[in-house]
Amino acid sequence: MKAYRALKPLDAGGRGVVPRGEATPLHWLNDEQIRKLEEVGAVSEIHAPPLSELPLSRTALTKMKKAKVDDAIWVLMATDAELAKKLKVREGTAGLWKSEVARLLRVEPPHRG
Amino acid sequence: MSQSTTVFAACDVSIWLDDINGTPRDISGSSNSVTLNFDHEIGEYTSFGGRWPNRLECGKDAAFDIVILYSLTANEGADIIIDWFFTNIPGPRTASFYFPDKDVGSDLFRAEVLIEHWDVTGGSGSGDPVEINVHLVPTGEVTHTTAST
Repeated sequence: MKAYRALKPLDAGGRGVVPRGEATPLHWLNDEQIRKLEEVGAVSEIHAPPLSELPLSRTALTKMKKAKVDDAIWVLMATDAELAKKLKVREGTAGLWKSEVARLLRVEPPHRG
Repeated sequence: MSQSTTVFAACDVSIWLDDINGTPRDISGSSNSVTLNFDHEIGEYTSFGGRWPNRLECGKDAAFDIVILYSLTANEGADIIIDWFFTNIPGPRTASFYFPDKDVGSDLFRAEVLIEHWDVTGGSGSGDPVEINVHLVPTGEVTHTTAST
């Protein structure tokens, strides 16, 4: 699974605006269109380490290991409900862990001077 | 020095304006010029002993000028503008401007706009198409995004 970081606000039509810095799967675009967005500096692919390499809480890592979830991008793109079902935790907990993964993967977009 | 490879001409600029039902209509094919004006409110002050002014920045504003070809077909630029103006209370509509075209990766400027002015002039000896000059002003924020659909 691939995900991209919006380096500029993206107008996604009926899906609204993807704010600068937010992760998005861009699943509604084809490869050529995504390449165009990369060319104009609007997005960059997120390359994430395995979840086991992220400094998450021991509980979160244990649950994820047990559920064989090691793809940070999948966690990022899953809904809270999907993640909760997979990890067998409450949605609120899943949401918190997802936010933590997002925080750990986030980098500031380049400053446009 | 690297040379830009993404410079463009305005041939395929795409202009969209809501019709009376709030449906976005492509009026690019019935218009031939657009100017987006952006302003930034800057105040300045100097103090004793200072030689160079200091400046403070605050509000932003914009205005959009479109030249529309006067045609009689429904939902082309002229029809939308004239209908809009003659509505009892015209109200705001969404205007979108895509540069250089409406493809993925283009720059998109979008705002809710009010129609402030339009004029049309015809000369009896001219074979040029009659044009309508429209002046729109935003109400609220003008957004700048990258087209991703």
